[in-house]
Amino acid sequence: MTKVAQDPYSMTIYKLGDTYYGARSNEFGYANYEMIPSPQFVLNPIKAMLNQFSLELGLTQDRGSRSSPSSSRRCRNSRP
Amino acid sequence: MKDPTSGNLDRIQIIKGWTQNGQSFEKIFDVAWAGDRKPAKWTGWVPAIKSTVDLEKATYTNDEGSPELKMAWTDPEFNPSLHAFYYARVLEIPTPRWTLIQAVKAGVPPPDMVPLTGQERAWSSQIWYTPTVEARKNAPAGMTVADVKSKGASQLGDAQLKALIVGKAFWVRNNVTDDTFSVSYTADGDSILWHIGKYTILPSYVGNPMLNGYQGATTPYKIEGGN
Repeated sequence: MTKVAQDPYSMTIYKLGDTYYGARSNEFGYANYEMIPSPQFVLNPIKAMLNQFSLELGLTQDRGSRSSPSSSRRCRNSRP
Repeated sequence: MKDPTSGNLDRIQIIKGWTQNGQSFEKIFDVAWAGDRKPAKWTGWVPAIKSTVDLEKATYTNDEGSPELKMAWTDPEFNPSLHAFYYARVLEIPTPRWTLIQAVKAGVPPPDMVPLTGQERAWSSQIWYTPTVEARKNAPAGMTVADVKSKGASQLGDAQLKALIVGKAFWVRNNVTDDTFSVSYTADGDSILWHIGKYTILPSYVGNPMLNGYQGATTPYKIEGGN
């Protein structure tokens, strides 16, 4: 339970299989929120940037990583 | 058309509100404006108009803006299956606010805790769009609590909630808008949302999570009764 502008609302969490759904008390019976894995830009920002770069050029992920030597180098360097 | 005794017009806006799956939204469209300003590429927002206000004299001129604006507009995001309202708002060019006018007349420094200029505005009555029963059938279905329960979902109790969220940060998607954000709940009873974009279309009644996330301002929470 928390507040917005001093008015309380609550969130109820439901587990369905491995997925958690959240329903706010002021959204008329809908369970609109879903817990999701961390997006790629959080886990690996450089890989996410390369994927976006590839998408914008209409390339596959594999071709995209080869299309820019400097980008590929950055990608390799990002891995410990 | 402008008030003959007041400032020129800056722009006409259409304010749209709509509901979807229990959430309500508002969006402002700039639809007609004075001058050759170009809307921003990604937001469509028109830059602010130049102010003609003389802060020492508390005067303005009508060298900026337009005495008349008009436009026929069609909602580019119209969804016939969703309830909506629309109204028009017209902004004048910046003019001296009364706080500046009175300070100048009194010969005292203007107050520094309130605006010295403002943009007067007029607004229309709203129009309401109600979808037909047939159109409503095409509305995005969404997921209800009844739906998840019917599929066998179980509601988390207090102990399960604490184990799941307290001291954790995790990612959440609003399935109505598909926007994602992260949220953290500290063991001290504070929560905060992160990664909410400046231009995200937020549901009404969520406060200002963009600013709070940017400033690190937290909101207290507590777990009780399975909520």
